[in-house]
Amino acid sequence: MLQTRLGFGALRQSSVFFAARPFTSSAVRQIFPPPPQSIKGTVNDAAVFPPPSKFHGSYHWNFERIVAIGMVPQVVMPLFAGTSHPILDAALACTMITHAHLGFESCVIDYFPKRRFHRIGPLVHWILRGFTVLTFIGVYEFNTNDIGLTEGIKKLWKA
Amino acid sequence: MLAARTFHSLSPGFFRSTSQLLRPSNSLASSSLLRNVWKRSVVTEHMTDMEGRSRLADQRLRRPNSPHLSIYEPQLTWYLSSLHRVTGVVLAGTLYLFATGYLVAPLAGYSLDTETISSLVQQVPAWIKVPAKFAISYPLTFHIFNGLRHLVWDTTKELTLKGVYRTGYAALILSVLTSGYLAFV
Repeated sequence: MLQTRLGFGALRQSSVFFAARPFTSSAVRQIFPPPPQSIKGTVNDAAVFPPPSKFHGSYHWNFERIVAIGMVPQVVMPLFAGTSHPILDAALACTMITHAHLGFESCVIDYFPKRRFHRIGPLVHWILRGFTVLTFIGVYEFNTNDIGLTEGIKKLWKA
Repeated sequence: MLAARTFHSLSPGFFRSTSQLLRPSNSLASSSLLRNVWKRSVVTEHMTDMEGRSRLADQRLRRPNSPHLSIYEPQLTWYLSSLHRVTGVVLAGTLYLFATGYLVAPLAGYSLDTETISSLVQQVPAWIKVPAKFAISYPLTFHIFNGLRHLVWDTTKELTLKGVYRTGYAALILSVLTSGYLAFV
């Protein structure tokens, strides 16, 4: 809020330079320009709603929040109390990877929407799923063969 | 003229054809000497619907876009929101890369186990280690406190502008303090 009172935003606009396009007065930066409008069918067709699905709705949102709330004690205990236990490692692996996957899914849906990227969008989504499976296997191997997540981070931090 | 062509093609029965529009109608100029004069002051080209639409899309691709992200007033609201997403991606990306690297490294002859990494870390001098630990732990602590802020919002509390700024400054201050503590642990 302090920045807006001082008019910080106005300072950015005052740096005028003309790039290839003389029509704009602020810095020309094409942050992923939207494609031209295209209408499927005619203008008189009814809007198409996505089909109802139990996986895409409030259940998904609830699942995200349950995982996030579950992460709070699992992260706070090792971080501030210094506890480390193999079962905590296993639980942390499950919730942390699920939380990371859900977060990455939001990014993929935001930056590669299906209506704009017909092939790349679903492809990136599947690559993410494969990556998550690999991460899960990797963390399992790390917990089994090496010291484990909590003990390992503690050791590297105090090294 | 191009517009008149495409507009005509959408509703064929309602408008007269272009040739009729160019020809002087008999009711107005029935007694005039200019009865059969055809006026052609504009050159048109014939285009189908699809061609016209693709020409329009091509024009739109070349038009400059209004700036949006680059001119929005810097505010705590969207700065913290983007920082939350950036720190989340950094943390999750580190986890993903480390886990897959742990699986893949033995195939290339290396090993990413804690023994190797901790021996590398021990060689780093302390005056690099403390700021580095602050820089490494700050994304985690900020993401944790901003995540708690999101959970507070999900209980429908602090959803006013004052509440958003209050919780935002609290998250920033708490994350700096916590990272500062963790850097010296």
